[in-house]
Amino acid sequence: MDALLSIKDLKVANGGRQVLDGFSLTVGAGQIHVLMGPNGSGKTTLASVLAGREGYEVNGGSVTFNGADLLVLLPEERARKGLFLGFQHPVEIPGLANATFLREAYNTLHEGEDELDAADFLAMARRLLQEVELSDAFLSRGLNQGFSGGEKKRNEMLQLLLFKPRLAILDEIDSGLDVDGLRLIAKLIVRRRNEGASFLIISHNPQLLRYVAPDAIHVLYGGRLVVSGGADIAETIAERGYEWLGNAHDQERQGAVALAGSVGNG
Amino acid sequence: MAEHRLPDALTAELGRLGARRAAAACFAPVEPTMQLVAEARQRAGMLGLHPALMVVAGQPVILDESSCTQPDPFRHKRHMELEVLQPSYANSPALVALNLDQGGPAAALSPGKDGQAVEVLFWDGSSAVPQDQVLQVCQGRLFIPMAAGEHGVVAIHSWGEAGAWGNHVVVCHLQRDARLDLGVFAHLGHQTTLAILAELEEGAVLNMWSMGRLMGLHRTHAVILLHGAGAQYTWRGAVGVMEQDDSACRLQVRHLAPATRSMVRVRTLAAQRGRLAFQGHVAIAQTAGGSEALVKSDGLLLDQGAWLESRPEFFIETDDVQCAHGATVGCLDREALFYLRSRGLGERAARRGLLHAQLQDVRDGMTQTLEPMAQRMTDQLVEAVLNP
Ligand SMILES: Nc1ncnc2c1ncn2[C@@H]1O[C@H](COP(=O)(O)OP(=O)(O)O)[C@@H](O)[C@H]1O
Ligand SMILES: [Mg+2]
Repeated sequence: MDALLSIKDLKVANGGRQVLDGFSLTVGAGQIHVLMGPNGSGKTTLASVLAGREGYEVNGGSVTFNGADLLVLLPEERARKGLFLGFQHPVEIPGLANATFLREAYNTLHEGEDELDAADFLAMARRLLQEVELSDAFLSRGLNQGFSGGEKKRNEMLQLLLFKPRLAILDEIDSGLDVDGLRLIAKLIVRRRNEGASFLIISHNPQLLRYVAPDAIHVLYGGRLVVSGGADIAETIAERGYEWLGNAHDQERQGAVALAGSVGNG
Repeated sequence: MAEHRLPDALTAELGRLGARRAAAACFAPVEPTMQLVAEARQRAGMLGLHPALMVVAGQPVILDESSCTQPDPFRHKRHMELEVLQPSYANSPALVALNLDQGGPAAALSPGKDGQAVEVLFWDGSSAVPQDQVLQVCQGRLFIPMAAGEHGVVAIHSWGEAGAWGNHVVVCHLQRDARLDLGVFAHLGHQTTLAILAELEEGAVLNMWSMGRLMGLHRTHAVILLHGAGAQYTWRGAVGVMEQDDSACRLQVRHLAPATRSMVRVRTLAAQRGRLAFQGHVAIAQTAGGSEALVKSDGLLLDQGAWLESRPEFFIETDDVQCAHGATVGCLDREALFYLRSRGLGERAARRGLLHAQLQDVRDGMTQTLEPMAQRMTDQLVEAVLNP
């Protein structure tokens, strides 16, 4: 399968620290990949660099998205090529009505197609609100303004359904969601996947992983992927934490053990 | 029309401004010739206005006689002080309202009709006048008397050409239970000084909105006297500076009677090397028990060389009051910009979105008839600071 996203030997520093140090990962069209890793291991850093947030020093490696060099593009160009970042912490913008924002973003991302008029757009947005189980009131409120953690994540999912990106990077999409919310979001992810979309899901949540049945699970540790594999990895981590990976990782560095597999990856 | 000599200090100040004709030591208010009036009408059309009154180069031109009269309303208002020639909070002194005693005749409005906005255009007429020796000063003198119980809406637009100067005085007198909604719109391309004096009697309500670029060496000086019990004043501003603007707004609210209320909320923007000082000065007299006052200002600095200052000040002579003030100055939120760009909006569109968000609440509670004009002014202001 052709790779949609191909990250090769990516090195990223932030505030003088080498956060990613030779990270490689390939995501094919229609695949769901999950990225796990301890707090501070660089998952958000990776998501940010892929989406084009400023402030990071990329000091090695390459990323191609749909065959093109991703890292030279502006954030908005990446979005227009079909990359979507579901934020770990979606930003609140009081004074910018959610509906206004959604419509402007929609029209920008669907440029070249017929612009939806306000009424058609509203009808579509209302339908999608129902899908993510938010009330219509969320359209007239300021963007994410005063939304609870779970409501913010639902609003991110609403955008995903609206914009239909080819690749969605979902950074801790499950945080703040209750059990029903989690199941709902898993269902929507699977539906989009069945329509051909790809996902890189950053999550520790074994339940979410069970619902979405990912093609591969990867563990980020010490700046690189140390393990890739199936559902068993998530369960091992749920049982044993990330500590044991540290030992394995050190051994690998010394050339003693090669743990990093390529199951479902590539 | 007699020529007026400008005071030396003013001449020096204008020279400092670098205005093209600033060295000219005199100005001559120009008679509103047919040609000037025709041009002013054309400008009004371009702005989508239907003025009842135009002040063209200092002279009132009444277009709707049912809304305007021409008494000498300032005669009994001359005692109101205007202590503002050199405000200490601003970088440079400027003239405000030199025209209380000079200048041409004043006009009076009667806006108390059917909720429609009475529109006024102050226009300097500079393009139609030889520009080599004469500094154009448009001296708008406007009196808005509101009879007891009357409600009215007035929109004042000032517009001119680069190098011209508007120097306006607006005096409002609201009798018992009168209510006035007043929009003050500073259009691009024109620098102004504006003095607003208002006196509110018992139960009267004055709601004011100021919008636009405060260009050049702009000064607003407003003095609001809450004279009667239960009088209420609100001021919402969305104002910005850019280029070399060095502007200041000073607002004085004096609570003189019991249970009076004032609310001041201003949003300021500064781009490039623009400077803007805002001072909200509230005095609550001993006689004003049970009063409430709020002053809040929020500023956005858009470029490194820009400067904003905001100074709420309270002078309170009674314990029985509720006062609150707050002032913030910040930059556009980088994370918010990134969020919008990650949704496909270009940098400009993202900045525009955040600026509009910042200015959004200024139109809260606005009279419907003023809303479209205010929307246009906000759009213009945002485009101006986005597009140096
Ligand atoms: N602005 C910053 N300056 C310096 N270090 C940062 C900054 N932001 C994040 N970091 C550090 O980068 C590392 C990776 O962070 P992050 O990518 O957020 O981790 P994760 O998402 O895996 O929890 C952490 O050590 C974090 O403290
Ligand atoms: Mg994170």
